[in-house]
Amino acid sequence: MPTTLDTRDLIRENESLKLRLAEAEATLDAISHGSVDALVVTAGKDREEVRVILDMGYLGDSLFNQVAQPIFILDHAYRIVRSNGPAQLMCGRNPTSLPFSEAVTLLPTLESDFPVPDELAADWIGEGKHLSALEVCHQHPLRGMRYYLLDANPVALSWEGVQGGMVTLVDITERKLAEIQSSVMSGQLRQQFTFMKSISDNIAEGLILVDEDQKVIFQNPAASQMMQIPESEAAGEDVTEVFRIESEAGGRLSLDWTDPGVVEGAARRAWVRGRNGSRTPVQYSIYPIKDGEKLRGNILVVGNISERLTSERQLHLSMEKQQQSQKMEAIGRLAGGIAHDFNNLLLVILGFTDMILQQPGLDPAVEDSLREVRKAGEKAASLTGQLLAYSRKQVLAPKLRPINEAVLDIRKMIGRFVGDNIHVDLDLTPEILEVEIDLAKLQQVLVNMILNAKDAMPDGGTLSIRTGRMETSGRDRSGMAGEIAHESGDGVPPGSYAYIEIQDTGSGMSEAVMERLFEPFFTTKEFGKGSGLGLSTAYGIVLQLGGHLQVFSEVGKGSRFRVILPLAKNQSFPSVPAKSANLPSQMGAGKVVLLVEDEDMVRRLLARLLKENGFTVLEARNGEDALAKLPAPETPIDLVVTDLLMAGMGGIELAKRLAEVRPGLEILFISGYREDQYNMPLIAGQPPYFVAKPFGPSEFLAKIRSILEKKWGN
Amino acid sequence: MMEDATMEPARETSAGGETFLLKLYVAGQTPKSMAAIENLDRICTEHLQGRYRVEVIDLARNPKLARTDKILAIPTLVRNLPTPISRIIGDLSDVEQVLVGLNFRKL
Repeated sequence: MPTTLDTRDLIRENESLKLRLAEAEATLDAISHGSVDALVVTAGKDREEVRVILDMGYLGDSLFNQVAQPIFILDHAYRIVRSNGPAQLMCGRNPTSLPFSEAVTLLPTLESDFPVPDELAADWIGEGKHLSALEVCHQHPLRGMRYYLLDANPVALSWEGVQGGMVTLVDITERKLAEIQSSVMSGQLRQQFTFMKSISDNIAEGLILVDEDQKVIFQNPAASQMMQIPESEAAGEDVTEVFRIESEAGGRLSLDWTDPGVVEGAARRAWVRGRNGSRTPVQYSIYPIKDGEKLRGNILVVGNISERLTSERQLHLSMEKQQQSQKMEAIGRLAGGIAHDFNNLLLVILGFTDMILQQPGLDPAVEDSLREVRKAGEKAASLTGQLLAYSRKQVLAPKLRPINEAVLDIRKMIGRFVGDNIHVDLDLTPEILEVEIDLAKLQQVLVNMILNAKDAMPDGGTLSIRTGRMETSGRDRSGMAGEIAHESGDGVPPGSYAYIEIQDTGSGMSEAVMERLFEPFFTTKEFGKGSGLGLSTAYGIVLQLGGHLQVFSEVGKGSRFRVILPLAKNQSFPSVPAKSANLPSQMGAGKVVLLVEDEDMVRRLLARLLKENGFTVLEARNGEDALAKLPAPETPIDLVVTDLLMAGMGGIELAKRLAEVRPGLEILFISGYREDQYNMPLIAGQPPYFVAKPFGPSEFLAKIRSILEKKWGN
Repeated sequence: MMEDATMEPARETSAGGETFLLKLYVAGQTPKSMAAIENLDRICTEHLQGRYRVEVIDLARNPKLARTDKILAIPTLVRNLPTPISRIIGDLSDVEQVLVGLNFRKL
């Protein structure tokens, strides 16, 4: 039986149980209303362990919706049980209950070595394996390729500890694209840099890059070579210490970077002084490097112009030479023209003088005077001869002769020319070097040079005459140190030559004198002491022999003249036999001569000469005039004497016309240019008859007689 | 994590009436726990005028404290004083229920 106390205890216990039940009901009610988000449970053998279990269901929404990263909750079979907004956005739909691998197709990134799908395909939930920071790609239908870092962790899904998994992804697309872009960019930059470097390494121009403080940042190998400073030493140096420039004379030049003309790329010339003392002529330009409006530095482009300078100098020389040779040619023509006119005048003077002299019973005083006139005339004729030689219009008679002969023949004369205070030193080659020369003319050249040498040594000295062989390779000027060289023509072409050299120890010549050396009438001698024709004549003769003249000189040390002649060539001109004969008068009796000459004085002289010798003379002023005055065919013409060059129809044209209208006529050509006879066409297969002005009456008549004798056979 | 804390103001007595001793059991910063703390603070300020003392007990840090008041669900508010002991389970968002359940009206 229960006691009162027992009954009170029971009532109290009943109250307590009621209260506990109410509490339990309230708890269940609260849970069912979703008013709680965690439960307290006891566990363990004696239920001593107390755990607080958070309810995922309550946490889920708020957490999921606050998180910006996609989160997938998977069950143990990898089906999606929950996903947040970003996760659903990634799938393009609500993926609940779909297998994760089907809802989200993940690809490995290009850089990742491990196959991400394989790792995810393994049973990481069952194995309790945590996958951390896998880089994956996901192709989104609207947003395109996105990059993620993926974490996958096994988690307990329920109060009972059912295992599931949580996959979270962090979108790293922006960072990844930036990385990819920069790696692509840096690849391109590297490629560009390599390309640019290979260009700058290989170009001949020097490149120097300087910063805004004019400190060298970079220079290429060509610049290092020019300045003789390795790039490692130049870098960081002030550019003016590296790129040291000088004027041509050697004065230090400053590099004014502030001068806009310089900085905007205008080309300047200077000499770069290398660290080892070398000097290189350069052309340089400075270009600004700008970043927008701000000047970041400059690039200096330096070209080595040594070769250009050399060729410019050569061009200058060759132009000078060409000008010189053109000038000489012009002077030659002028001289030849003057000589031609002179010859006509001299022909008249000498002709009439001779005619008067031949008259019997001449007053001896008059005769003496006439002989003086004649001497002066002959001297003048020889002067015009020299002029013609200069203008290469004089006939030479070259023959094969050993070169030493030219010297040996005049050896005796030399001593007489030069006087006692000059020592003559002969150094002749033992070789027999045959050259085609007109000995007399060559000797004229040599004598002329020897006289010049003597004049250059008024106080005595040594005259050296050398002969020898010379092989040239084309650019041989072989002047000695200090000597100025001057040369006739365009230089000696390659070949074998013999030379004669005449050297004095006299005063030498300045460059200005040497430049005019071969001009006719140029002389440094006192007025009246020289004609100024000596060397110009020598020049003409040597050129005509196919040779060259070289002159070397140094003021105060003397001059050296070198006549260079080509070794043996087989070609010789017929020499004109100068016949002289005493002519019987009246040789022309009964003979008719057609005389064609445009110079009235000459025609009158010749007509008179012919008439005095019994010829009947028909005079004409030129070709047309002669054809017009041609007598009827029954009147015989024994000889036509015609000038070659006339105003109007000339001698050659006339000869052709006469061959048509009166074939078989004998024609004697006269000309002031001796050379003309070699340039004339053959007449009836024979060289034409020719006599050169000025000629004396006897030479002229002898020529006519020889023609007539040949014709008539008497 | 939240410390066990005594909520302001900690006045044990006042001029006319008893002081309430309240214990709020939470588990970390779950949404309901946070809501309960917020709601309790407002109710006390409005209706108890300083005649209360509140302890917030975080069971996530110390689950064993659940035994003292036989706590089953979180959040739970327990009125230890004045007796009898009473409790309200939930985030205390229903103010009327709280006032009735804790007998605040009788004051």
